[in-house]
Amino acid sequence: MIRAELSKLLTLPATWVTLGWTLVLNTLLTLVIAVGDAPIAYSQAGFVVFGALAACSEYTGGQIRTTLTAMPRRVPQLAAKHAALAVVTIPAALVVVLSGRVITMAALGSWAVPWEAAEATAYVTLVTALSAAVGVLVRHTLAAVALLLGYLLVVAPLIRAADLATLAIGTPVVLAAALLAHRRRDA
Amino acid sequence: MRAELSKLASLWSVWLASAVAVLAPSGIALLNRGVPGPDRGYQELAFGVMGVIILGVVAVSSEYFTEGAESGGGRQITTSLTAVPSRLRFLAAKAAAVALVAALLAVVAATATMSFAAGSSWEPARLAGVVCYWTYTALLAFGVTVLTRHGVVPLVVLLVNTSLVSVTYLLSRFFAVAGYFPDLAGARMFVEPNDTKVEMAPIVGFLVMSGWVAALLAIAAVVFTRRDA
Amino acid sequence: MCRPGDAGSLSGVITIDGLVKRRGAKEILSGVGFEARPGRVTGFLGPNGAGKSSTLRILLGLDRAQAGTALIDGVPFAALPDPVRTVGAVLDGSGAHRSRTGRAHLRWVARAGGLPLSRVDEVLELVGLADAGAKRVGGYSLGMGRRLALATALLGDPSVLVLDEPINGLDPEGIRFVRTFLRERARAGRTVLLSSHLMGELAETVDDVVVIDHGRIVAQGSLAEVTGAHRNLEEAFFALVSR
Repeated sequence: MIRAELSKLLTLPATWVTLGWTLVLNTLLTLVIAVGDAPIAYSQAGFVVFGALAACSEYTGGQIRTTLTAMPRRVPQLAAKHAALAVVTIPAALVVVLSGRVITMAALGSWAVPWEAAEATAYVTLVTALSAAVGVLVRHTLAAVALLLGYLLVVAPLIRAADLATLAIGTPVVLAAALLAHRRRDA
Repeated sequence: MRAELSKLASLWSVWLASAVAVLAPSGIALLNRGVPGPDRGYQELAFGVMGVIILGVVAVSSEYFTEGAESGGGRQITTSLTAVPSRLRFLAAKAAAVALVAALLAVVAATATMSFAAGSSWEPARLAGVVCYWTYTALLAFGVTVLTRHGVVPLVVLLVNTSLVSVTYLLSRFFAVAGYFPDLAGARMFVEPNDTKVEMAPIVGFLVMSGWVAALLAIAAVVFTRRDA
Repeated sequence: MCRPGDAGSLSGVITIDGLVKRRGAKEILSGVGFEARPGRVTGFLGPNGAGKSSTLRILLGLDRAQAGTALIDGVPFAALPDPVRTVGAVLDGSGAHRSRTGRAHLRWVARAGGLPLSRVDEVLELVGLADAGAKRVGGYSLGMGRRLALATALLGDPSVLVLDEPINGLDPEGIRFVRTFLRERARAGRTVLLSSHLMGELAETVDDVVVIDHGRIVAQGSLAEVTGAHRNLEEAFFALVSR
């Protein structure tokens, strides 16, 4: 099932377009304005889109019906989708985070290996998982992206919740809600 | 025009947008009630503009793209353009509907927010600026989406830019000319940024943003009337 | 009780009993029950909105019923040990994301069912889409989308085929293809259940008929039994559903 979900993800052109643009924009932002992981605060938007698309693309062209007739046990199916998502996201996140790092280090001339890079990768991976879970709940890409960006870019910083710990607690909660909703509702 | 309003009202994304527009600034104002600061209330209203961005984007993208268990990927634009064959009139009616709803939301949000924001006075000129800024931003989102025909990209770019520290603001610290971006210029209508390289009176900000909106809508109209639906 | 998956035997009995489905205050299905047997083509007839699609969606585990059971070989669809090899389903549309190619779509379904990827080209050939496999689904015509849905259903060479309005959107050649194809499946001992509101098209294809109207089964039996004294199936149908 993970291989089926992985195959879905990799044959979706939007996956490559989204991740490609995220890398390009992150590089540009790093070059122009910022130092270190700061551009991640903006380029996480790319991963929000990626996660939401991975979940909501099921609802284009009635694909969800094919999915659920091929994999009728819904909880394992959604778990497989998230596992496949993580398989793609973690390397992609690492590349984006490290690209920013390398540029910064080259500019400053210091080559320390920072722990924060791992933290940023974990953060971005969790953001993607959260986005996919919200996508499953609302089943509409634009609505999911709007909700998530509103939360991550304005609400979370304002209530000082934009850190890895909040995300690490919040994501499984939303994910559990998504699994429950996915299991119970009509497709 | 009335048809366009009823189309908007039947999209649940539009109701989400309205909720964001009204609840975000008033909610933040409520949370920040105890904290005195410059421009309390007006600062919060600058974030509420997210709601009208969603409004502008969804108004267009819903014509092109449908998602849902039942929809077979139908494009409403075909129906719309056979109902209103004049494309210019169609676009104008849609823009007018978006502007009207955005202005209405701005008035409601401003009223709610200012009643929560302690220590700020009601200044009619600045509040008019807020309404104008929201309407213009919705029209910008609308125009960009007409050009892209797909909602995700404009939505992300514009929403990311309303984040706590906006990208255009960062750019403006390095390049003075970035101060003339529509969002920064338009914001002068109701807030005075504390460090800036470009001095601009509210009226100049209004004119700059008006220019952006007019130019973008003109481009959108030309492209929309020329290309295949 | 039935034991599913007896090695070698092609079973595939569909047993639907007492289905009740409400959406809000509206009762869409009120106690729907019938059976579809191997070796026969069962036609599920009814006007638009009578509850055909809802019944099939519940059978496939897509929608939840408030009461009643819909079983395949004695178990609910979601509990089948090997769903892709047991049941193939054609619902409305293509069931595929429009930015994927037809072949990529079939490949992920094959992976989901643990099928060899060589099946993908076999079914594309079978439904006449061999040349369109590398094309994006968004560029397919309505009929091509329907053929892709059929190809998807046939991937696992299943013992049961469930088809919702399979000839909608097909050209005359496509209709004839589907008709002969379904007859052959039944002759080979498979179960075929198809819904339709097109009586004329159906009469030449089906063995058994189930008629649904306003969420209730109003007639069921062999084609001859349901047609009865009427001149043809179409007239029998209108006599049954007129109120």
